[in-house]
Formats: sequence, structure tokens, C-alpha cells
Amino acid sequence: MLLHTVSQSPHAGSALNSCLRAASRDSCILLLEDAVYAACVGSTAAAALLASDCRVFALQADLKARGISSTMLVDSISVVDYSGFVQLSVDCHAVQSWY
Amino acid sequence: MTETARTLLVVFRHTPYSGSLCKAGHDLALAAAAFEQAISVLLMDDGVWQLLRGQDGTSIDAKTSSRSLAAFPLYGIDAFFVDAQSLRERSLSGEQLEGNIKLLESEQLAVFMESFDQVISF
Repeated sequence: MLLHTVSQSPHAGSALNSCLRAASRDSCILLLEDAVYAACVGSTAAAALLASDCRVFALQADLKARGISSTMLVDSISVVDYSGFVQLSVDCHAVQSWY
Repeated sequence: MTETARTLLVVFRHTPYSGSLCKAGHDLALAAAAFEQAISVLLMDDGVWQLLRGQDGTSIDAKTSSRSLAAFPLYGIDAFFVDAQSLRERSLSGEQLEGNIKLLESEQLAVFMESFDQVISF
């Protein structure tokens, strides 16, 4: 199981799209920094994430800083804190960063 | 404003917490306003996130960008022009943004930008 971390805004470049091309069903995707904007309900990026069948996570601190409230979040995306980030890194055999 | 004042448009197109672009832009706008220049601010593309309500930069040791923009009216920058198309692309509505905003539709954008003496982009 691979952990894909994405840190670029879905509108700013191809990081998220490339991640989605490279991620398998078994992969976990963790949204960090500007990539947390992809977790907002109704966005094209969120739809693409949902369609991927991957387990998707978003980092709490980055959501909070940017004002993305729980009501704006796609339901199936799990919010993790820094210890959750560490746990994901441990649970997955390797990490691929998309930035 | 004096007769010689030139109009300046400051355009923000990037997210608030990646790098120093956002802060540099805010500093420039406020500095120019302190010299009584006629400043307007346009937020488009990822720049619209700068005004999203409920931001709290402390969770990532950053200054909260919306709070810095909230000081703009004190410097005579009363309204933020926001590109409506950029909001739609992000499933955002004007109500989710802070401050006095004026939405611009795509067909208004070109004329709006042409109306300024100077334009600077962040």
C-alpha cells in the first residue's frame, strides 16, 4: 500500500491529476497544504478523488488555516492530524510526494 | 486623492499560504494606499481563497490572510473585486467570502482591467 501525498492546489498544476493516474485502489491519498482545496464539496477535483476509489485523507491543520470547514468537506474524506499523518506513513510501505 | 494620482490595480491569483507572494502583495497594496494612491484589488483564480471566511493561520504558524485583507478598508481600499468565474470553478459563493466584495463577470473583466493606469500581479 502506497501513500501519495499531494501538496499543490488542484487549480495550480497537474500534481493531483498525475497522482490520480498513478494511484491504485489500494493506495491512500493524503491532501496537504494547498491540495486540501481539492477536498471541497462540488469541485471537479473532489469528484475526481471520489471516482478514484482510493482512501482519501486531508490534514486538519491545513484545512483549519485555510478556513475549510467540515460543512465544506466531502463526507468520504477523512480528516487526520499530525499523528494521523505519521500513522499513515507507517502503515504504508512507501510514500510518493506530489508537489 | 490629488489630480495626479494614478490608478493602480493589484491582482491576486495565488493561494494565501504557499510562499510569500500573498503577503508581498498585501504589503505593496497597503504601502501604495499609504501614499494615497487610488488602489483597487482584484482576486481571481486561486486568489479568491484569500477571502474565504473562517481562516486561522495559527494552525500552520502563518498570518491569517483574510485578517490582513480586512485592514484594507482602513487604507481606503473599500471593496474587493472578485472574478465570479473563479468562484464558480471552486464551488464557492460570494457569501462565503469576507468583506465588501463586488463580483465581476468574465465579459466585464477586460474593460475593468483596461481602466487602470497601472496593473501589478501577485
